[in-house]
Amino acid sequence: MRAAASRREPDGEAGPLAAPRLLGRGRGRRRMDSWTLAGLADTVSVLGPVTVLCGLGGLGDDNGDALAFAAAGLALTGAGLAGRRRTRRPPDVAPRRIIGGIGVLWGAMIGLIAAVYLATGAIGRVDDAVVEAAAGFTTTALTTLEVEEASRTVLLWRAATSWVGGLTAVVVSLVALPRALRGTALLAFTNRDRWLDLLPTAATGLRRLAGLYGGFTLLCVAAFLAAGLGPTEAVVHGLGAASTGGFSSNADSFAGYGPAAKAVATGAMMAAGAGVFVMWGAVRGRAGWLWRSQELRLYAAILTTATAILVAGVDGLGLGDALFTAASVSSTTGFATGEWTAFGSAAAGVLLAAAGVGSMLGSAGGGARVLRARLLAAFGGRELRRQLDPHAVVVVRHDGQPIGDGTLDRLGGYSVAHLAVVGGGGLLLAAAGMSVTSGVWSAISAVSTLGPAFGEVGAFGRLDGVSRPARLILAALMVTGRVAILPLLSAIGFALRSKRVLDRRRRRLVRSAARRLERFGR
Amino acid sequence: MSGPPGSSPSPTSGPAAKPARPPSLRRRRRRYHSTTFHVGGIGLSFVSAGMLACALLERLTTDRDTAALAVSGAAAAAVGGAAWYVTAPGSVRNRDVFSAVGWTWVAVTVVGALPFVAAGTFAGGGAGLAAQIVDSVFESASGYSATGSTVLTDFAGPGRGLLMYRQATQWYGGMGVVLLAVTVLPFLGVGGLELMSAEAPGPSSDRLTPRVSQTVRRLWAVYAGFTLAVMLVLFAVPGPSLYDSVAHALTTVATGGFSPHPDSIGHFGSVAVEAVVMAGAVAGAVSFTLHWRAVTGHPAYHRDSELRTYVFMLAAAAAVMVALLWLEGGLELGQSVRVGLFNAVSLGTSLGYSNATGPGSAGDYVTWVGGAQMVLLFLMVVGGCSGSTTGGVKVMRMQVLGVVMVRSLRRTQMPRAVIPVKLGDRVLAEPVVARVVGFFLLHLTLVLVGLVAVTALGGDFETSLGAVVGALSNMGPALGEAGPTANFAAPFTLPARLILAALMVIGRLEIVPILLMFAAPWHRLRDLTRPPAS
Repeated sequence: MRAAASRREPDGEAGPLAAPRLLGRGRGRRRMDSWTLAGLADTVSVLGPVTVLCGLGGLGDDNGDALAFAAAGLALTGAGLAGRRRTRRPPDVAPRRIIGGIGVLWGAMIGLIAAVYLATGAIGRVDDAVVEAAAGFTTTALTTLEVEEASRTVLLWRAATSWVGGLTAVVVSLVALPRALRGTALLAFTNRDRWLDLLPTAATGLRRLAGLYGGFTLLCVAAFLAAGLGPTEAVVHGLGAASTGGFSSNADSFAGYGPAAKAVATGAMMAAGAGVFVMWGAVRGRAGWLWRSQELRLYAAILTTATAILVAGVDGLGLGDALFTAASVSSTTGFATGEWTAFGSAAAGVLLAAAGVGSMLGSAGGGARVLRARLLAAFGGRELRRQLDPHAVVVVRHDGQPIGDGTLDRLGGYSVAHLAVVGGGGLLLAAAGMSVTSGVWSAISAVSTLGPAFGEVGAFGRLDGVSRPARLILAALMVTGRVAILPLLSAIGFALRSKRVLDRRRRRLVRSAARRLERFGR
Repeated sequence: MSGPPGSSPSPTSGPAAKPARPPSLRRRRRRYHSTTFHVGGIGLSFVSAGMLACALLERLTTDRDTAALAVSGAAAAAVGGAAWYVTAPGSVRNRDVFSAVGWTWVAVTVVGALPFVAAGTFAGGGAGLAAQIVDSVFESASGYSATGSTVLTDFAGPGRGLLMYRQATQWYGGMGVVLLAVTVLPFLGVGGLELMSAEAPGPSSDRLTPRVSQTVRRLWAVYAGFTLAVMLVLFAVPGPSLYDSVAHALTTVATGGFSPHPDSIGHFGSVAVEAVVMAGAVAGAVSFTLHWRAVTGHPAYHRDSELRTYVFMLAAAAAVMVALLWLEGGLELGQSVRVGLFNAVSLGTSLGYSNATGPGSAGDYVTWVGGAQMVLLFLMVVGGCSGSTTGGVKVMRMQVLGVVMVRSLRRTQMPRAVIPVKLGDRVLAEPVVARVVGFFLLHLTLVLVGLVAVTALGGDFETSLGAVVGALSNMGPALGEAGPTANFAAPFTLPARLILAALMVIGRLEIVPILLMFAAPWHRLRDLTRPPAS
């Protein structure tokens, strides 16, 4: 992504809230000012070349698929480049347009990926293609494909959709949303110094994010190759681990691999769940920075606790497999070393909690986020202390930084929305034929973009045993959990506003009719 | 002087050089000042009265457990009376209030288990003493918290008096033991309101009269009146005997759910009985303040936004369940309406009665389709109106959470906007809103922690989820293996049962008093161990 300059903040300084403004596009032409279309063009122009590479990588296995995907990739590249030349991000965009644009971006990308699946013949049914595309772009490890029968190109492409989706999620959450939601996005709670260190301006931030994400992916692929995986397997699992996508080239994920590959995957998932801030700290050698991070310590505590409960509660489960499963669920990746949904209820409870909390800020993973869980716990603790002394001034801090009441209030509202989506999703899934366990687990797993779940879905994320309406509900939950809770809230707000406007008009009409009647009576 | 936790030495027990006081005051001077012990003593005294009354009933009927009830009643009276007599109300700071309410409930739960232990109610199957004590505490906690979960398998074993005592525990717990104590504590002054607020369900408590004790007496009068009405109507319809009518009336308005029959309301197989029970439970699930206003000729049901939302929620849930049972569950329309409506009301009011006639029957909701069970789970979480006898998060809190969610959205678009949280015409103060959000977070945390703990102790996931949510919401029957035709003995280990018993009491007191009941003893201990200032 080319980026040259960032918008100046109102106070005259180029800050991290500045909108990324990509210059040098189609000089001399009239370009359309659209935040949404520009973002879409950027994303497609990344996906296009990746698709071409997937097609080329598949040559020699199923040449028909390979050529079809290469052609589709070329078309996407062309469309992306054309879009970039004809669109431009306007310098000032209303927050609601950015929020709405993010929803549109995700919807359009899923539609586009589904169209490629259908056009290349990789998937025959529209609903299956939409579900597979949604699972890929939202980095959720659910699949409708028969993985053993899929060609190498399709396997690479699936993993690539996760990878592009993960990158888009990181960029949106760290660059676009903070601008749209000043003070509401999770970044508002982070240590400002750390934030500015990674993202001093939007343009620099974009470059660094792309570099970290790409570099980490290459490292994962190299480590998997060193652990004895074949090139295709290494690339697929490397893309899946870096993006927390969890797509595998095997139907039984990591069950057939040796300890070395599992160890690499465990480390990769833990690092991916820790996010780009931790990666940046590690790259810059800031050990103290990492040690003082309350979020990282809590993430480590969650991983340790989950692993300990799994080892203690599941007969015959080794430490390595327990840590693998805990890392997979906590980072919301979705790889599996076996059917962990058969571990029993002890595993079900702790893994549900880990999946609900999810990964750290700056990760491509999902869930409520470790930071949010910590702040919500602090919020609950503050209210308890206020019960003892209603006049006490209790300040909630994170990494030494005080968090304002208004920010906590918005965090509470957002969390209620998150839970409402999970609850509503569980209700709909159960109505679509799932059992209670399966409905609750699948809803939390899909909203957290994990994928695997106890019940019909299982540890390998296969949707064969799930009804078609339930699959579509799962797809909607994945998208909602990934980015669209805020767009969803916007839609509710719009509906409420429309209702108020309609009520006002109705009252005006009634008053006017009453006046006329009165006049007529006279 | 080493006083009990939460107590403080009488300020007037100083050196003999002080001037002489009138005899009445001198007598009061010798008492320890401890709100916790004083309120706990009164609570235990009331509980002992119930035990002794049931001992009399037992003597007059089956005469199997008379001694157990009488001895337990006498012990409770001795302990409670002594604590009442030797203490005087102390300070009523918030931490003292939470300590008083929390410890009173713990004491009542433990002492309330004595009749079951003494009668050997849970000695079947060669259970050891530890298992008997745990089961008795579970039954007592389930009773006093008006939950309705049971580990009783042999309903023919206990005498009629003991079974009636089991019913009476829920009647006490429905309105609250501490509220009962407040009726005789006029001298607590302002502390009465704090005690009432700490025990009463909902985010805030309404005062009906300037004097709190008077308000509490009126609430108890309405409660007793409704109980009497349900009893009379139940006795009037064909089916229940006088004993059954009294037993079920005690647990209907309390929204408890205990029944002296293993198959609960399904025992009667009567639509009329089910209708009376539903009406009684809905009355118990509505704020008793509203009932008092109606009784005094100022009905305000229609103006209460919480009640309107609650009625809408119950109706919608019932309609969805009926539709699911009819269309997907394979039941006939009439049967779907009957079992769907009854269970929606039973679980929506945290009552917990069942109209199942046996495992696999139409009313056995654990055999229903997943969608209908999820609706029931949702009803369990929400509960009834604030100021009622129900458990759960409460409708008013859910309304506030909904408004907070929408406000959060509006603030993303207008970050500087001042948007008050309104319920109906009332604007809620920000501290109340924050308290509601905090309560919800604590509730959710407890559900998660409880679920992890109970599943780690061997519980099945679905059964544990239903049991934990049901315990915190004071619901009663759960899902899975602990459904309406089963009990909690088989699916859960002893430690898991203890955790569930604790969750019931925590849920009944709406979390905060139990979590903060250690604050006053902790401060007292800290004061005692702190080295004296030079």
